[in-house]
Amino acid sequence: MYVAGIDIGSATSKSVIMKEDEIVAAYITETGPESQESAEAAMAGSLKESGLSLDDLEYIVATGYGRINVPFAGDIITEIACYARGVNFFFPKARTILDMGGQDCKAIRIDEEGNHVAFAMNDKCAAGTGRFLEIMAQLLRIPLSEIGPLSLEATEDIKISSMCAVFAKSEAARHLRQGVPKANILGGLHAAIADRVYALIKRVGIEPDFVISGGIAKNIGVVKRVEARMGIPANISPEPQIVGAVGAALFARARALEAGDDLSLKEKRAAAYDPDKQWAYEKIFNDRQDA
Amino acid sequence: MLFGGIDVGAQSVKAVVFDGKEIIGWKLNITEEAADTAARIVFQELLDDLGLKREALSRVFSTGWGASAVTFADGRSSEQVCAARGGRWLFPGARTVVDVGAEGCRVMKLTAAGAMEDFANNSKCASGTGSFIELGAVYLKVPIEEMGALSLAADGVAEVSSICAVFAESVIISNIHRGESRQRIAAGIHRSVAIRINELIGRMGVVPEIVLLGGTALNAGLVKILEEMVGIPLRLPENPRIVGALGAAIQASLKKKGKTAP
Repeated sequence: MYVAGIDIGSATSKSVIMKEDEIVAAYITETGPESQESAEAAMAGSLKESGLSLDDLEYIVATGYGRINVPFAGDIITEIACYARGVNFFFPKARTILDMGGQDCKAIRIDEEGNHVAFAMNDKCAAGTGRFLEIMAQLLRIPLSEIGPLSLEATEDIKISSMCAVFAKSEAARHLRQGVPKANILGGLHAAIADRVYALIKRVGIEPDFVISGGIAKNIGVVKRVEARMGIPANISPEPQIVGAVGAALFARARALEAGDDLSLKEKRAAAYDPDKQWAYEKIFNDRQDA
Repeated sequence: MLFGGIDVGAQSVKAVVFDGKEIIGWKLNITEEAADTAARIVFQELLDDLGLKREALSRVFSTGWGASAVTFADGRSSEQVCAARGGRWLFPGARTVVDVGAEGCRVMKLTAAGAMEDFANNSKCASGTGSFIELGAVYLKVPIEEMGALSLAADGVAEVSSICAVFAESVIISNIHRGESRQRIAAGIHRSVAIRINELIGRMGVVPEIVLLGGTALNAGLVKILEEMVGIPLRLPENPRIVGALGAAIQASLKKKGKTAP
C-alpha cells in the first residue's frame, strides 16, 4: 500500500511517499506565498519521482504551518506529533529532538513509540532559526552551505552579545568593518545560535539519544556546537528536512489500516475533494488535531 | 566652565559641549569606525567647529552602548541616567523620559524633584526600536525619511506583527500582495513599534510631562500613533538625538572624576 505525507513549512514544503516501511520518493520545494500551490507542487514532485499517480495513494496526511491548505489530504496532524513519529522511525532510541526550521525551532521529548511527551518552541523570533543564518550568510557574502564548515575554522568564537538577528547582524557588520576574519565572526554567530537552541532544549530536559532534524541539521557548525553544549552526540538522518513528512506518511498508513473497509478510500478522498464539504471536513480535523 | 558629553550609540556618535547653562555646540556622526575612533573624531570635529582645545573642557563624560570604549573620557554614566538628565534639563516639568534609539528603547520615571527613581528597557529585541522602522522602510522600498509622511497620509492602519522585525518582512509582503496601501502598512509598522514602547511606558506609569528622545522622535508618523496610544501629548526636543550626550555633559558638570553609579 502506498501512502504519502506532506509537510508545508514556512520556508519549504516536503512530500514523502512510502510503501510499508520504505521511503519510495521524497521531494522538497520552496513554500511560496500560496500554501496550496506549494502543497500541490510538493506532491507532484514526489509522484513524478516515484512514477505513481495521486490515485495510487491510499491515504495522505498533511502537517506543518500550512497544513490546512492541502485539499487532497485525508487528515491533518500537528508538526509536533509528526516530527516525533518521523524521528522515531529513523532512530528508535531517540528521546530528545531539536528541530530547527526556516522560521522556528522546537525541542521535543518523545517516548519509545514516538509519542511526544513534552515540547518547547520559538516561533515568534528569528533567533535560533534558519532565517538568522540566511541573514548572516548574506551579510558576509558566503553561500549558506559554506557558513557551517567555515565557522569551524574560527580561531576564536568572537562574542556576539545579541540573540536578536537584527542586532547580531549589526554587531557582525561592526566586526567585519574592523577586519575580524569571517571565520571568527561566523564562529561567534554559530555559537549564539547554539546557545539559543540549547536554552530551548533544557526546557524540555535532555535524555539520550539526541536527534537534530530540519534544514539546519545540515549545518555542521551549529551541530558541533550544540553537541558540545549538550555533552552527547547528535544523530542526524541523511535527509533531515523530510522527517515531518515521513511522520505524516506513517500516520497516513496507520489511518489507512484503521479505515479498513468501513469507507472505501476512494469515497473518503472524494469527500475530501468536495469543495462544499471542505470547510466542514476541516473543522472536524482541526478539532481532532491534537492526535 | 565647559563640559563635554559623548554618546556612542549603535548607529551614531554624538558630542555636546555644555557650559552649565546652555548647549554651546553639538555634533552627530554616523558610526563607521570602532567606538573609540568614532568618539575621538566626532569630539575633535566639534572642538574644531567651536574653536576650542580639549584643555578648555573641565571634564568629559561618555554614555551609550560604547561608553566604555571612549578612553579619553573622565567618567561615564548610564544611558538611562543621561537620557533622564538631558530630558529633564530641556523640559523642567518632565516626569517620564522615553528614549527610543536605533537598537534600544528605555523609559525612565522621574521624581517630582527630577531624580531618576526607576526605569524599564528593552535592548534585546528589535521590536519597539528604530531598527524595526528602518527594516520596515527597506521592506516597503522607501527611504527612512519618508516613513513619517507616508504613515500620516494613511486612511487606516494595516495589521503588522508587533514582534519580530525579521518575520515582519513576509507579513508586509503578503500585505502588499493583497493590495494593502504603503501608507497603511507604514502606519502599521509604526503602530507595532508604538505598542512595544507603550508597554514599557505602562510599566513605569503614565505621568506627564512625557518627553520623547532619540531618532524616532523625528518621525511624525510614529509620534502621532504613540501619542494616541499613550493618551497625552509628548514633549519633543528640537534635537532629540543628542539629548543623551547632553545628559552626559550635565553629569560631567555635576560629578567629580570617575565612573558614576548607573
